[in-house]
Amino acid sequence: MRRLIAQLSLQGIGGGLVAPLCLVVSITVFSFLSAEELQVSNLKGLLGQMAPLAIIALGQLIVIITRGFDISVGSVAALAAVISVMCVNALGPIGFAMAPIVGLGCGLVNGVLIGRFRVQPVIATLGMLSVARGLVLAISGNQAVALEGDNPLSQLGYGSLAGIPISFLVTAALAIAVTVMLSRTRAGRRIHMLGSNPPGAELVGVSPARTLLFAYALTGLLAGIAALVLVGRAGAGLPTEGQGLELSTIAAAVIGGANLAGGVGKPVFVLIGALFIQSLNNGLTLAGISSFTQEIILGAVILGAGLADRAVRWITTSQRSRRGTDGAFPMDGGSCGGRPGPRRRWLRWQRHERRH
Amino acid sequence: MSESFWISIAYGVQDEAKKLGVKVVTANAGGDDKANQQISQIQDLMQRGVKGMIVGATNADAIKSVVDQAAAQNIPVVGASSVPKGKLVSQVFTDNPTMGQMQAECLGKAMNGKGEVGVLGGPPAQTWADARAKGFTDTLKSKFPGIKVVTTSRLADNRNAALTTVEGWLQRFPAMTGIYSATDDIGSGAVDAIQAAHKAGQVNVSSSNFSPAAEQLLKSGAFTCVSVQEIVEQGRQAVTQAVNAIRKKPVEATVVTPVISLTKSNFAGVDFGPIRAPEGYKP
Repeated sequence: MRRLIAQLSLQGIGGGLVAPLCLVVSITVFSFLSAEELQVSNLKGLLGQMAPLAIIALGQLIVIITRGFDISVGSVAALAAVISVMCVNALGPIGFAMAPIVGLGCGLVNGVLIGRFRVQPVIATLGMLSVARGLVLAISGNQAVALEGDNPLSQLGYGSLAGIPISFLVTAALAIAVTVMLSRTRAGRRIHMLGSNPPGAELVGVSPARTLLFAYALTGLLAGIAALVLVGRAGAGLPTEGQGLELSTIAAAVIGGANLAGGVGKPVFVLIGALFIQSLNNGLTLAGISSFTQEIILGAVILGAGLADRAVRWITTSQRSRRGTDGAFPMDGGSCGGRPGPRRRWLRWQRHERRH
Repeated sequence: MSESFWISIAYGVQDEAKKLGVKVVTANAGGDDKANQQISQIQDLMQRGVKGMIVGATNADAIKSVVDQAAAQNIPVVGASSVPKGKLVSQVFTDNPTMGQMQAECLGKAMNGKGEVGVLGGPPAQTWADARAKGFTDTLKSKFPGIKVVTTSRLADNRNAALTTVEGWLQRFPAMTGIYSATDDIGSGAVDAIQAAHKAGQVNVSSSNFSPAAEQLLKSGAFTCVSVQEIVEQGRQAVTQAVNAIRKKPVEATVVTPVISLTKSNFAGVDFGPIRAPEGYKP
């Protein structure tokens, strides 16, 4: 078991190497294209701008570790933003509390569907994507809902503290909270166990229903918090905001080393993945490249990150198998069944030979 | 707004900037739903230290605070075509009420002053769409009292949505003989529905803006007329005002560019220089 955990964390770091690598490459390339890229002020700008993407990517990571994903996050963020602005206009600043509440509510519904009723994540969150988007368009009449009077959240959108953007401080605090939750709490260990070996986790008493409910609720909550940053920047709730966010947050998580097969992922690398995507957008914009070409490049980068991630994993696992430890194929021939790995097959074949 | 529209604006901006000897950096948010992206881009341009900015808003409300931030850093901001809220040194836009009025006059004539029309009013919460649709309905009321607006949609703001909406209208209002469309993209959807219902020639469609698709539809007679704004001219005017503001010369607070009504018959004699970018131009 200890070897298994060591293996998992090693894989996490191995996969996580891809994001920093991407980031260094992109910043170097763009600093050749335009000298502004490497300025400290521009890096600060990047940290501030990436907040909505990074915060939701943290949520995405949690559910990816459970072998799921959430494609409703963009619509949920838009719904949370619009409802909270409406409540602020009616009740005052207390209305902002509605953003995390709405996010949490949508997340709970996703969690019940996926955990309790075993609906596949893609179906459940696709349904939520459509319901939330339809709802926000209906209640707003497809119009931006502007905050009446001053925007109390403009500091969250644009302000900085000791030179660091406040939105980044919030993102960092949330990343630390998610890291602690995932690595130091019982809930976090359950999430990891369920993601790396569902039948095994159930055997040792982890309830999939409760664990998944918790994971998707947190993801919804984080989407609701990201909505506050969006409102802070726009001074309005935009019903069409957040389209495409589901894909870019999954991309940030995957570039940050999370594995869609579950069990693996670290928040700090996901932040670097988000920073990379933001630096790509920012750099391509400053280089005068159209938004359509930007999408092509982002897609190619996701594919490249997927391949690089495979390569890193292949190198780390094949080195360990050369050392001949048992940890090399932890999932093969284990309690989850399936085809035995090459080493086990070789051992079995040897036993077979001895008998005859 | 359609991509060809902004390409023509970009052409006007770049061509005029070349004449004035200023350098232009363009950023494309990628659609009206990408307000957050546009906010980031405006921040990036401020970081980059641009001397002035020309902004066509994804959403007038959403980018207000970032426009104000640019103004607070003494970067003059000119609103172009889709004018943002916030502190602007100048606003350049087309004469939207006249675009609507010209559509009303042309549809009124084609329908002989009587019948039923439907209004595809364009995206909600966009001032240009409001002004254009109001110009249309006001002119109908005053000049063609025999024509009745039987239905209005502000949700059908793209070709596909307009197609489904008009399919419904043609069933619900069999006597409908005219359709106002806020943009050529929306109008194309109306034409698709009319052709699918085998009603080509029975229902007149008027539109605004002039993309290559609209040109085809006008030549084939599917569009009765198109109100055309001088898009390239708006780009030129926006640069002129921005550069004047940077060079501390007098700036016009509001520039309204003229409009013409195109039909199949007057099409040949029109100078397209101020209207659209030359063929093959890429920003």
